[in-house]
Amino acid sequence: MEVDNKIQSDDDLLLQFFDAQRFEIADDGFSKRVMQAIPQRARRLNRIWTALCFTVAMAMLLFCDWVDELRLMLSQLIGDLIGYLSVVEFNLCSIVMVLASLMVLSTVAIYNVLTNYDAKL
Amino acid sequence: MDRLEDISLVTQVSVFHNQRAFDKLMKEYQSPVRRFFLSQTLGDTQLSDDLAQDTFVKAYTRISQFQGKSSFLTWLYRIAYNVFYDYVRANRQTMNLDNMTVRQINANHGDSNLKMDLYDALQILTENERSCVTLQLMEGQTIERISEIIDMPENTVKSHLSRGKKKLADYLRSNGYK
Repeated sequence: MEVDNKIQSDDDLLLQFFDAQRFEIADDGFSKRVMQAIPQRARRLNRIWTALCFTVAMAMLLFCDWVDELRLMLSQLIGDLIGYLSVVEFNLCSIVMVLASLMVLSTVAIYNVLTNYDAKL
Repeated sequence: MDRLEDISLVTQVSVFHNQRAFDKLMKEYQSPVRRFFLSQTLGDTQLSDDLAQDTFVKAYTRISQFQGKSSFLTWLYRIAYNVFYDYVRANRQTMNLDNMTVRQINANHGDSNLKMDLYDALQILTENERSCVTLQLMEGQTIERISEIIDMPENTVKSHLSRGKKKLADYLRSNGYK
């Protein structure tokens, strides 16, 4: 900082001083240490809550006769999908393009799973 | 990172317990939070990192309480401020002794020390003045946000800011800044 600058107000002086002192702090493993410090209890509670919701959903599915409705819904969905696919013109895209798209999607999915796993570590 | 992205990541953490989303939020905001603690502890790196870690762990466990009324960073600062004051309350006696030592050491620097450290300047302020001044001048928060972070009326924040800035400006001028 140049001390010869003519600064009129206190605010200008302080702004200049703090601007010169502001800095970014590199992560340097800080995030990793925090992830390791997250209490196991919080993670366990999260898992218990998820399992409880899943169990309640399954119970409602079985005891409220939602299985039949779900089957009906799925069969309609599959029927619609087959109907849609039957009218699609495959002349425009080759089977190679379809396979390539599937490969890209699979790679992205695997990458997401792996990075999620790394973040947990 | 914009506000919508923050809310999207918070939702992923809150609903799906997605730790990768929390990791992303932490990587984005670790620097301002750790810098805030460095200012409050007058440059104690180890203590700042411990308090920042405590802040993020609390943010993770209470993330469902984030309502999105203010930005995620403001919410983090609020937790950080409470973490710091819990620490101050628990260590009041030790901290007073430490501050006295720091003041004595800095008093020996003399008026000729033009390139003074930020923390030398901040140690002349009271804790509330230091919080308000650093939140405004270092972290760029508005008076309204500071009032929300430290849970004090805006007029009180303005008083702390006014007194703190006057003290700092006088101190800088007496040390050669013009």
